[in-house]
Amino acid sequence: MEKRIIKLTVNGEPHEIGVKPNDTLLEVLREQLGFVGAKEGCGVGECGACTVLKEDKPVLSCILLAMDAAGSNITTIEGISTGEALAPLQKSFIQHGAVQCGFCTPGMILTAKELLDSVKNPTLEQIKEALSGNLCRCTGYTKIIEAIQAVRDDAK
Amino acid sequence: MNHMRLPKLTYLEPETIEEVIELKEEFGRQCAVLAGGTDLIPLLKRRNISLTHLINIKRIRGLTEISYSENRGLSIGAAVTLRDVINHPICSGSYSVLAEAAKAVAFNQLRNMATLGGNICLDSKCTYYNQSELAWKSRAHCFKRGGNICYVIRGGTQCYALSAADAVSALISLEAELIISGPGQPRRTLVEGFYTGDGLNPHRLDGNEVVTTILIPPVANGWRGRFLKKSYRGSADFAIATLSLLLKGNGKVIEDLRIALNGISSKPVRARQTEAFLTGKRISDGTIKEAVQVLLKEASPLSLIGSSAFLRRGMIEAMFADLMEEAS
Repeated sequence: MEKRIIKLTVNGEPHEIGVKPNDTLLEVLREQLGFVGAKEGCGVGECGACTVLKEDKPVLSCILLAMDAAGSNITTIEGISTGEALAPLQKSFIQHGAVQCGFCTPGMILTAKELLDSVKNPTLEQIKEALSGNLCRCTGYTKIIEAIQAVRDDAK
Repeated sequence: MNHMRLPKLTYLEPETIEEVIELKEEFGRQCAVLAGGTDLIPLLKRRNISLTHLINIKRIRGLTEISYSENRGLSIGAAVTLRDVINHPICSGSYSVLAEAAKAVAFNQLRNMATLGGNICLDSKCTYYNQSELAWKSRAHCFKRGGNICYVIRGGTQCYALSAADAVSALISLEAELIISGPGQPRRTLVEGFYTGDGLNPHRLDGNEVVTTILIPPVANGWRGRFLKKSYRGSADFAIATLSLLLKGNGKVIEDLRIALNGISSKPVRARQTEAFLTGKRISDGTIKEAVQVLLKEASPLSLIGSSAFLRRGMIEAMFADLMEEAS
């Protein structure tokens, strides 16, 4: 298996990294670049814990080959705050107690961010539909949805 | 051994279809085309399949593009994502059954990665086959694992894994065609004729061929369509059944119609007998009831992936009645 150098822009910073053909984007983000916000849950693209934004769209980094993602712009949960200042969704998740064990939270927030960025004033149904690929095994959906609605309403 | 790591692989990124064909000829069954990877990568991670080479087709020019002309209709590259299908103004307009079907596939993140070509070439699904390598250590291998037993249909002499792709019934009702490239001249085939009905090798695709384009003829004025999917858990689940209906009516009289189903057995079904039964008829409770019997007979759903044939028949009946009432 031949390693290859790929270019990845993660949270606005360009990186050049050597990756193996069977490395997933998630493995490279976590193990080589230290972005451990993205989590490995199921490992087979069912739970959404590994969600990152690729060209501003949520994708599942556990089933995306790193080489396949070469040249793309990736945003992880570490990239949505500005220095110490948390992003509105992050603040809202804390305020609403939308975090229990926290394992699904990065994926939830990134999926929600893309929804709020691309759909103006999404309905409850649209929020639920957008989150249908992010599983919370603590079943904290009510508070997660409230946290997203609060950010939506603040933006009005 | 950590099974969530992918096995060792060689990753290839050809720039032309010709190169893809050459690679497929060279590596045969040891290679696979990688588009969205949303089905293929989990299959590899679970060790359901073993491969040595992956051929990414997403960097080939044209395969990620959609074009439209009034005369020729819609042309969609095989590596166009489902999200791009849903968001394309023409797809969500006169080809709305396709956009509705694409929306019914899995969830947000998957639709951003999964491709239309990948949905058409989706491997058949089975509660037994799609288990981990560990689970397979404890029982004799089924047809799809290279054995000679089927756990779904006891005593079955072939593999009955489910044809599960959501977009397929919509494409069949739209009379879509595929352009398939191989060592010779590219060939065209109707999506309807692309499926074998054998869960083991569900597609009429030679080892060195690749689907490059989906062609959908123009939808004439006066036709309207709806796509429905029933599943246990909203969209993020395999179907109990999908039903796509295109209809041209004059008041309550059906002038012409096309009905297609998928997710019910090892093969999608174009319900030609039901179409013939309904053509020229006036829509009424009586005709719908009679037509349902014809439809269920030719659909002949199976008990697979957590849904019984009984449940599938009920869902097909409910969806069909809903769509016909809506159309009338």
